[in-house]
Amino acid sequence: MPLLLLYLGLSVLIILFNALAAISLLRYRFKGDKSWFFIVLFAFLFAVDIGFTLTLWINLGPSLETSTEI
Amino acid sequence: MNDLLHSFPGQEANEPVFVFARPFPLAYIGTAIIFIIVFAASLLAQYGLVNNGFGNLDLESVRAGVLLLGIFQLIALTVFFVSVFDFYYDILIVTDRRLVDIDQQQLFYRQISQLSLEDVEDVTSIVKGMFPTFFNYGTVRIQTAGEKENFVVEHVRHPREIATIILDLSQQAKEGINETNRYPESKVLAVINNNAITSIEELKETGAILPSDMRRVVRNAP
Repeated sequence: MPLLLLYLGLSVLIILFNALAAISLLRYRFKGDKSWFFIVLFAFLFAVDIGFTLTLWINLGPSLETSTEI
Repeated sequence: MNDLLHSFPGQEANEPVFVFARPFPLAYIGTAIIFIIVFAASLLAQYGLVNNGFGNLDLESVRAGVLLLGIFQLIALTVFFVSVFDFYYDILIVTDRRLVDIDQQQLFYRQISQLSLEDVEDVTSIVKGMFPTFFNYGTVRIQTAGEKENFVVEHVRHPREIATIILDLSQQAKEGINETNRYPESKVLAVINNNAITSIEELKETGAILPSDMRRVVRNAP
């Protein structure tokens, strides 16, 4: 459980850092450039990655128990 | 949000932009592939851990491994994010009176260098390699007079046309032509957002020059 808390804490910190960076970079964007595309793409990648890791972690107990029984 | 007529600090109200060049995305493909391979490998390792691919580890070790790999992926994504913006926000701007090199070196480190057209000594364009030759992108090296630092802009499209535009405008500046009458006389008038522009109407559509700008009409008048 402490490891899960560490993961969640670090995830929040990393996402905050990236959000701050994105906000600061958006000041330099130009009309019609692709800044928003990159930001949305990375937000999606972060969300999918965190979702994937948490899904694996949550399903870990049952899957290992099943594999041991087999 | 900036438009081309407000693209750098100190740009004057009617200062048109003849070159606005970012690195060509294809030049980033190599770095992107490395990131994708590293990322995919860590996802596979995570999946392998869960499915006992690394031998019979106990539940706590597997859980720790999954979360550590998750942290690694978040850090890798952050490095990728920083690197994409570092690449994408490097910009070369050429107006009728100066060159501006915007260099995004890190996430929170942005360097803006300016050079008068009169100080341009020589301009070299380099297209090297198979992809650069096919897609017409490369390096533009601008040699400056005196002890000023040279400008080097990498991975821009139409490097030869950019070099010609800079040399043309620089020559006009050295001949003492008033800045509001300077105008590239090459076939390609401008390179905006990696597109070569050959007509004044097209250039006006990009917003790089005021619709009321009459410099070409004045220059070509008998």
